[in-house]
Amino acid sequence: MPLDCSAIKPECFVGLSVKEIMEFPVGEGRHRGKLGDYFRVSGDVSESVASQRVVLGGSLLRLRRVGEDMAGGEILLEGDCGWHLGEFMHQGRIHVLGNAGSWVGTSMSGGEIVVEGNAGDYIGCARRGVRRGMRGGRIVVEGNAGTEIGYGLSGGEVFVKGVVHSFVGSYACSGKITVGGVVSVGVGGGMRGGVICILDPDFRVPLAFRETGSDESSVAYEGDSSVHGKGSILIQEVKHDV
Amino acid sequence: MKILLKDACVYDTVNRINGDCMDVLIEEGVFVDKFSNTKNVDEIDCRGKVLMAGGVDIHSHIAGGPVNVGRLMRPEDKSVVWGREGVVRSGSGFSVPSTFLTGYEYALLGYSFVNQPVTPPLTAKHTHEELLDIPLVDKSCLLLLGNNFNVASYINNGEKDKLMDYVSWMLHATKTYGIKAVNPGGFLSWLWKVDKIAPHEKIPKFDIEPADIIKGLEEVSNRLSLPHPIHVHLNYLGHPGNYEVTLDSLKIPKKRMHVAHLQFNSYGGDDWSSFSSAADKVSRKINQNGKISFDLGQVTLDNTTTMTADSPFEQHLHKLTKMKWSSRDVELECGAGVVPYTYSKKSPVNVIQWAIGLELALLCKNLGRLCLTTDHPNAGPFIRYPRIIAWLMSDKYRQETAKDVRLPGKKTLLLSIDREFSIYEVARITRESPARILGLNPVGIREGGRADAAVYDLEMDEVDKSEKIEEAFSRVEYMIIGGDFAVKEKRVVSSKKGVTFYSRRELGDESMEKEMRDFFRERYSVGISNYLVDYPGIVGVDAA
Repeated sequence: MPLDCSAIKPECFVGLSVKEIMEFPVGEGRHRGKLGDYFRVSGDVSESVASQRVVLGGSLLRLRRVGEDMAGGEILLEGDCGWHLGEFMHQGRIHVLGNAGSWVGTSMSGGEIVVEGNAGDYIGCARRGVRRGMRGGRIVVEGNAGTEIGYGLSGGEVFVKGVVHSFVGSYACSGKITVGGVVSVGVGGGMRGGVICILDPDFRVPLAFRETGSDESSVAYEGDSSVHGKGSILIQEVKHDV
Repeated sequence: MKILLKDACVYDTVNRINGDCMDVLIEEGVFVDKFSNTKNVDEIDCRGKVLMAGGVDIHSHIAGGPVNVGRLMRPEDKSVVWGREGVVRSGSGFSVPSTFLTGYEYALLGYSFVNQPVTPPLTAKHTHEELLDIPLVDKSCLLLLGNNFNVASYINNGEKDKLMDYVSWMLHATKTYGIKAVNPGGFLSWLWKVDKIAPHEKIPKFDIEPADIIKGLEEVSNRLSLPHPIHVHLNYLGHPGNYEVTLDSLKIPKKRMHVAHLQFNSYGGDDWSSFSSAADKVSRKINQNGKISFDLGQVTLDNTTTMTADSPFEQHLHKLTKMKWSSRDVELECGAGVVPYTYSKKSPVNVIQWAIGLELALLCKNLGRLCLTTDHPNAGPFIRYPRIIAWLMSDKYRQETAKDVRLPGKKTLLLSIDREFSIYEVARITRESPARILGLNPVGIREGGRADAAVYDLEMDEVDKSEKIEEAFSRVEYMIIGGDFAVKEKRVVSSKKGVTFYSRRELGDESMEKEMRDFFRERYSVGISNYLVDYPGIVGVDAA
């Protein structure tokens, strides 16, 4: 059963004692429990949000909604984590040492999320049913990621160093997505704006995008022409740090 | 169970009690003058607090096909989430809340009766199942007949008795309370690519006009002496400059008609850029015309879901907004559509719509004809009623909001109206008027009346503070429904089931049933035995 951990974020802990933090609500299915029932809590609590750091250890795969609506500070997850990490995040930093699940940074508007392993589907995309997704901030995935990265992206930056699956940046209207490679179809479908940068010279751009120019290190395409979009896909040969 | 509400300021327009401080006694589900004995009395101190009878909502889409489609197609609407707590079950949704949440939120507003205005006959079974799932409040639903193929044919052929038998049988088969016509003839025309139709234009393939459908159904409603007059959503809804059509339509009924969400039908101007308010012209006619009652459909400037059986309008809205759109053709009976919509504070049209609703309320002379609604969820979710009450009660709040949303002053009259509703008048438009129009025969707070009482945490000297009004009305201190606590100290404490009312009919002979059996075999996709509604919990009321 997943654990609803939307209460775990730095600004909730500022100025509280360890005992008070143990009383925080955690949802398990339809039951409501306390943070202390699932975690051992120790350490010092900071007086300001910016300097507050939360470290989560152990098996974190069951955790959902960590850092939701986060407004500052830092969360470090020492292992693989579950879904909905840093949804609606405004500020601060989340660092995952292992892999992350799906829906990382959904509709986030600021801050930074770094995943050292792989990530699941829907990274930095829009919430279900909404057209506009991530508006700002930055997501970095060192490994690979799944489908629909940056769906409806309208700002900010998503960087996946490895390869991703289908529908990268569909319906994006602003912002930038950089991926190491794409193993499937549907790049930039319905794209109106923004940039998708693919660091794989062998990648074949969909027919809905037309070539607008090239220089020695990159080829630029514009589309999606089926929606008269002004988005661009850059195919770059040389990998360089973004 | 015995409850004593001590020293409450009672506002009961049925018995003309205007803020008198008195004790209200409740025993065995009714109001009493004296307890049979004084043992085990639950005494509650309501000193200075406002007590009203249970609220009645005359027009609110809380169950049925379109609502469910709205829930399905709007996962983004689930931002409001209630967890499970004791007997209170979980739920979610802002503009299209889940069934349980709907009941709890209505109880928290102090409401005890909700009328579901649109029931396509084919989905009556589904609507009833959902209505029975809604806790605490009592419900009723209206039968949609304005675009029914049979109704149009009978009127076309002048078969008045047949029409009456048919409507009578349909009310019995679908266990509904009254008759509703949505854009009469509009959907029938839309099937032949006619986008909008005025009351005195010919419906394609028929020899009749929408006005004939309204007249025919009104006559049936009168002859069957249904408790609620025919409930009409007029033609040209939501189109700029539709007030002339509205004025035309208001002349149609011979005896009584209830006009739903009039705000959407009081638009001036020629197109969206010259859009303006015509509320004064419509109000003037309504004040002169004793046959018409109406509800507001007040825009609350929220992100909401529009849903109506007026499919042509939903298509129009979809073309305007490019939002996702669901449209359904309900066999021979009607259509329905759903489109999400955001009433934006930055859009001059939406802001004028907001002003029109308030104008209609403030210009209304006979409050017995006015009901407070948002046409939930079309113009806004019902949980915004407290805000509308605050707008009606405070001129200052209206001016502030108008300034905030940059209301184009020349296009409406709102800023020149300084009328402020009193609590007594608010009690009237949320309790007595809708109850009387629905034919519920309200008894009010006096001996023998059903014990529905809402206690609001509003001190009398705070009535000129608009924030306080909104806060107080959005969460009742205590809500008693049928003699039991539904809300205690601002927390929902019960999930008791309410009942659904329908107009009981004595069917004359079985000829209609036999005819319908054949008709179903020939034309419908479902068998007649799957069409008839019969559930425990649906209670018949006799005709007035």
